[in-house]
Amino acid sequence: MEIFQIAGIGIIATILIIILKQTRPEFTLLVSIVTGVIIFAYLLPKLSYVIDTISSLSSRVNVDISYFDTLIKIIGIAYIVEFASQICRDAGQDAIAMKVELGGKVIIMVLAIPVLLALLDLIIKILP
Amino acid sequence: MNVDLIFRIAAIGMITAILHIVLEKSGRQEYAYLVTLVGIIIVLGAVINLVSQLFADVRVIFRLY
Amino acid sequence: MITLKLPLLIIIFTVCTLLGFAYGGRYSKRVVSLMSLHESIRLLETEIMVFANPLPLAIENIKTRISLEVYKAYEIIFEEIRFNKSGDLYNCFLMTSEYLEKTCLLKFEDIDVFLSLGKIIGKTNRIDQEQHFKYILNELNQLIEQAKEEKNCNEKMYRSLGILMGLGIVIILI
Repeated sequence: MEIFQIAGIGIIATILIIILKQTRPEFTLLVSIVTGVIIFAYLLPKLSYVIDTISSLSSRVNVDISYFDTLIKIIGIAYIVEFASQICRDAGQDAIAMKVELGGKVIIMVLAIPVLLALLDLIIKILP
Repeated sequence: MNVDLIFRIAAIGMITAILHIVLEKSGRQEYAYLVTLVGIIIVLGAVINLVSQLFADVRVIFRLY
Repeated sequence: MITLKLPLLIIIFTVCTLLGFAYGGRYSKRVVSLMSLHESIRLLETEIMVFANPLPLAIENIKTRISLEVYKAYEIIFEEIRFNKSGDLYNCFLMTSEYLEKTCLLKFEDIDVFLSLGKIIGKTNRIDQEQHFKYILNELNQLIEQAKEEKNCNEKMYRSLGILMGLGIVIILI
């Protein structure tokens, strides 16, 4: 079970950060980044399995594949933005975290525009 | 992914902390600061490699090109 | 891979530690050299002032009672006087300065005090020489105090610096 490994990594990293916090606060951020990266890397194969399953499902029900691609991209961007903004917030830089999140939102919006346009097209077609 | 990077970073942090104390006690503040800086740069080199690897993996899985 | 890595890491760690200890050892070596120099000059003073021996005989007499390192400096002076390679007694003393700097790890000011001995022995009357001896011994005492302070400050630092540097390099290379 990976959950025990992840929990163990989290606990160990927390203990190390508490030890380091009094003397060298600069290193606590680096330890927390590495912990985040390692846990993320444990989860990536699972995520790829989920995505493969969903994409096979979507191909079975005959949904347009390009919309599904957009969806996956948006999820990926959300993960990355969350990762970066959490690191910034950990270091006490809330303003930078907000900016990173803003960047993520704008890029997601740009990605979503084709879907929006398709939706509008559909509505116009349905309306008499 | 190797977990021992966490331990390595923590160990380097502790060693730089002890070095900082030793150097400061014998009155060499400028070297103490330099030692901390070198430690952080070394650790940062390893961490940046790891993060870029993670980003590449995410890019492949979520098809972000 | 691990069979090659482990011994190399151990070697790196040992070398760093030894370097730290060698650097720290220089300071205590200076203290020891200064102390034995002080002792030897005190003995020399007794020989010259009380027994009124000439310098070669005085050196001959004290050689069993002083430590080997400092005795070598006196041996150089002894040889210089006996074979009369250089004219003045001060020149004979000058010949030891390189040895004192390289082997006894003394600093310039320590050697200078020792060399000033060569300027006064046999040049002036008894009272003057006695005063000079007193002055030189005082000066050496002060230098010993200084060297001790320096040793307390630096020796420990260099030792822990060596050990920690070794550990740091090993951790980075693992």
